[in-house]
Amino acid sequence: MIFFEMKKILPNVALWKRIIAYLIDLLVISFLIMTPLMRFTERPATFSEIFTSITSTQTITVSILVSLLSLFYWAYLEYKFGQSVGKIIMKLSVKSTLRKKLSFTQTVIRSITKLSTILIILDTLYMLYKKGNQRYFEIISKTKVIEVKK
Amino acid sequence: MNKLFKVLLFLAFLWVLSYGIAYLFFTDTTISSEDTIAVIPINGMITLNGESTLLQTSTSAQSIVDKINEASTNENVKAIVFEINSPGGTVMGSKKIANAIDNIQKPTVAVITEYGTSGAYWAASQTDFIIADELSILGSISVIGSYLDFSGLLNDHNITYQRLVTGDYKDLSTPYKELTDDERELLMLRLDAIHDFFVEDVAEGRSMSREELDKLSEGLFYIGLDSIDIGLIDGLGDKDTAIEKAKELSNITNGEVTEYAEEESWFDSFMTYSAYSSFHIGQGIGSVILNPESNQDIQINI
Repeated sequence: MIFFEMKKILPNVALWKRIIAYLIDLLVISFLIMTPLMRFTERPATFSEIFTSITSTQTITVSILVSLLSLFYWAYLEYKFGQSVGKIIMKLSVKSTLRKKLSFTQTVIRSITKLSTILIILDTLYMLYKKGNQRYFEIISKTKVIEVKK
Repeated sequence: MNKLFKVLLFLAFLWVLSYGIAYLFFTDTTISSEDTIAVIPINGMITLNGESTLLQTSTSAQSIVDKINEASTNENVKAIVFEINSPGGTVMGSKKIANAIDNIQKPTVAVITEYGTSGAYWAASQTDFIIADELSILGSISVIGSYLDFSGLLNDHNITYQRLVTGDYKDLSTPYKELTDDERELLMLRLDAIHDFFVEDVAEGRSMSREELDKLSEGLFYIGLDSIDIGLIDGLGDKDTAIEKAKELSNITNGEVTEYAEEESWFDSFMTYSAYSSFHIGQGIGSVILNPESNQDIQINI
């Protein structure tokens, strides 16, 4: 009965909305986090130099900083408001599937795979494979994305 | 405070945090070593003030001259290397850089990477030593003033150019009317004057006679491999070679290298990193799709 109630209250969200929300968030992160860091760091002048710069100390340091700040962006906004900027625009929200308010730990865990392109793809493929509406890390963190009703 | 305001406040905080971290950890504008080689890049189309459009960015001659002045007046900088990858640019922009390099009282070395043609080669010619890769493209010592003539197109569409000028040559080289022989001759005289000035300056910079350089000033480009024999460059190599040469010319053995990075606008930074993000996302997706062997638990068949 509880499961039935939760399914009624938390209907599935279309994947395309979630993808657009994610892309919007990437754009915001590019502007807020990556652009300031890139202004002061060495960066490849051409795309072909990307490969040779990957292992430089500065590149690795910047990557770690970008990852931590991006995680903070998603985790804090979803914890505090239930929505990141992308989700606000796409009228989506994150809810806890437990009978309590969303915690910061939950939002951190659910956002970890967003730090890596390959991980988020695998996480999303799991959701498609299971034909559900929760990524693997959403299941672990006991969270789900829903549409915000007007 | 409403929700939107709080979100914007958080975003502003995040931006300040990122900027602060970057500034604290990655900026070091002081040249502390007594023996320093300054590296000044000259990338892209050269214009006087760095005007950029949606399709093309340019490098500002003024900003390069500012860097030159800073490096020239800094006692710790013993030599300057110009890392050039530019097809040239406007006459005034190129001349400004060339003059500034000519006035440097310290050893200078130019290293041409991909391109060092036209105005960019003009700048390189004023240094003490030019290095290029075997396949670098350089030269093109000439002037171009070509433009598209739309007069025929206007005529075909019954559009008339109403000429209202107070001087006969006020609309010289307007694309809306055909160039007369008289006007062509006038334009060519001016281009020839600029060309003479350009070639004279390059000849002086390269310690070549005007006659020798005239043979190389038909606008043809040369590759690095052929350019040593004809006197356009002094050696083959890369940036490291240029830095070692600069140390040799300034009689220092262990010098630090300071890069004078090009300043770019916030918009340029944003667009650059958005492009990198897209590249890495595509690279990530591509690596999953094209290398199924590395993902044994998931098989994607196209």
